[in-house]
Amino acid sequence: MKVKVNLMFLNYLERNSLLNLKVNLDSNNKLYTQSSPWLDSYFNHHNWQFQSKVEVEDVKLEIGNFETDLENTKRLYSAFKDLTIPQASDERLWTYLTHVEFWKYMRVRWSSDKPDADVLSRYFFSSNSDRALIRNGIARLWWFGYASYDETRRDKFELTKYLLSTQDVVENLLGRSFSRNPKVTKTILRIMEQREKANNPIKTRKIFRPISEHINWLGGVKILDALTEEELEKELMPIVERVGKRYFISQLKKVKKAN
Amino acid sequence: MQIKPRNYPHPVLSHFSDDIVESTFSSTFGWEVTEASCIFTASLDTNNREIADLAEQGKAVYAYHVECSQTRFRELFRSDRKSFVFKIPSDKLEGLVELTPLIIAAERIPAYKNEKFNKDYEARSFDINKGDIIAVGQGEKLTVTRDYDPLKKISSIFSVQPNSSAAAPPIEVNIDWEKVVIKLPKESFERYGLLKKRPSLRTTLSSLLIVPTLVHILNLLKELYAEEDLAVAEYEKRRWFQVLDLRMQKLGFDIRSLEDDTLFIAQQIIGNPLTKALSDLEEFVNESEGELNVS
Repeated sequence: MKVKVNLMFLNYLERNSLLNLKVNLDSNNKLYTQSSPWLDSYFNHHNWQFQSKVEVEDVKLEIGNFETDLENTKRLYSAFKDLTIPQASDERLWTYLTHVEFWKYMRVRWSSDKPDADVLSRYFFSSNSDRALIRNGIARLWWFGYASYDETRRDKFELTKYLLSTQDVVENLLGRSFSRNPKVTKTILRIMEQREKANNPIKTRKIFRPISEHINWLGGVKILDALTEEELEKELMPIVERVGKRYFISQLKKVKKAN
Repeated sequence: MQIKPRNYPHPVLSHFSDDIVESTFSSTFGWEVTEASCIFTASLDTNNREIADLAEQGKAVYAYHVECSQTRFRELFRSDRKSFVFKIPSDKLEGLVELTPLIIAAERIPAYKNEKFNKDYEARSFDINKGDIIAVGQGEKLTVTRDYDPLKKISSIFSVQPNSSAAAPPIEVNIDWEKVVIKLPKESFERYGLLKKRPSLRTTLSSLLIVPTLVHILNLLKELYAEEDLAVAEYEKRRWFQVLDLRMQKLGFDIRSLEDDTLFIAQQIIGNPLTKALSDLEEFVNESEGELNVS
């Protein structure tokens, strides 16, 4: 049975219009609480958007918070899988999507009404480094998929589940420069998978954060990129075990003290 | 990957430590961009006999570690030869690219000893594992711009925007984005919009806005580089910086070491607009007087 797929050409923001939005963010704060997209009236007929040559499948995102990230990563990455790296790193594209196409999703997921709302980093790119790619509200979904998608598995998003097990894992893994090497990222995700299946998970903040700090330190004295996946796993496992053991002992001490 | 000065668990040949004395590790590379790839030609060398022997025996390799934060690219390129070529698909790199020259262990090297170890190590030897750094050189940065056009005018890195704030100053410059943003109060912005439609006034407007903006930026950069302020690293990632850097190199200036007068440099960068602006204004005045005479 053929499944009908709706295709669409992606639009993107004109460069100066993007800049206009960014430099006037303070004055435009209230606009981010509106229930509907507002760029048309803001730019007042000026040519603020263009149609790109990028054709993708139409996609709807599930409205919600962190619990929807996994499903939305699968949906968005599957629909936009053929984006090239330059396209996927282009702020004009993602800013259009956060402000127009996925406005309703953004209003809930990254509500600007909250006191700690960071409109700049969620609706735009707040910096020129890859940190911006995993902070922008829509770009992050694509880059989560890109970092964890595994063609060799039956469920190609199996490792994505571990990447998105907690917000802390996402930040501590993809926020580190060693994760730019997909081999390193996938090895760590595979270790997480093994530990989860052995009922010894490492996704909690008190375990995962020190593990990623140790890996970061290791990367300063050893070039992790020089190792094969098996060698990487051999190198990283002792760190995982050491940190896990230390955490387990500290938890035991707490229980003993409480008793 | 920025290799910062650090202590390693074993002696490493580097420019920032004396773990290994009387030894050098030199590196150079050339690069070109084609439509399909960025092609790098690397040349690495060391005068340290033991390290060179390790490479000769295949126990160590010469390598370049390449990283581009804008595209989340990171890869190691290695060779058993001192001179080698490596290619990166051009769509994997954009903006600032960091390259670090290295010599790393290709396999486990038990009991590594070196005649040139600092005497603090006495007669110690070290077990080195695959991937461990044996020598590290000075990191280099370069800019890859996909749509770089050597003929592209410098004005493309400037953007004049309206300032929506009620208390907007007469002019405000913001260099935190990809372009240099010159913000004008709404009324001035509208006036600018009307005036720039007149070709004879464009150079004058450029002199009014872009030259002082450039002088401001150059003075700021001069100060930051002189004080070795780390804040400058953020600016280096910006597209305006990269385009400006390339333009200044063509004119024989070093953006990281400004010695000449910044007003002079700014005029050079824009192509000496003041002379043309005065000439344009003269023409504009003559035209206006001509119109008055006709009517």
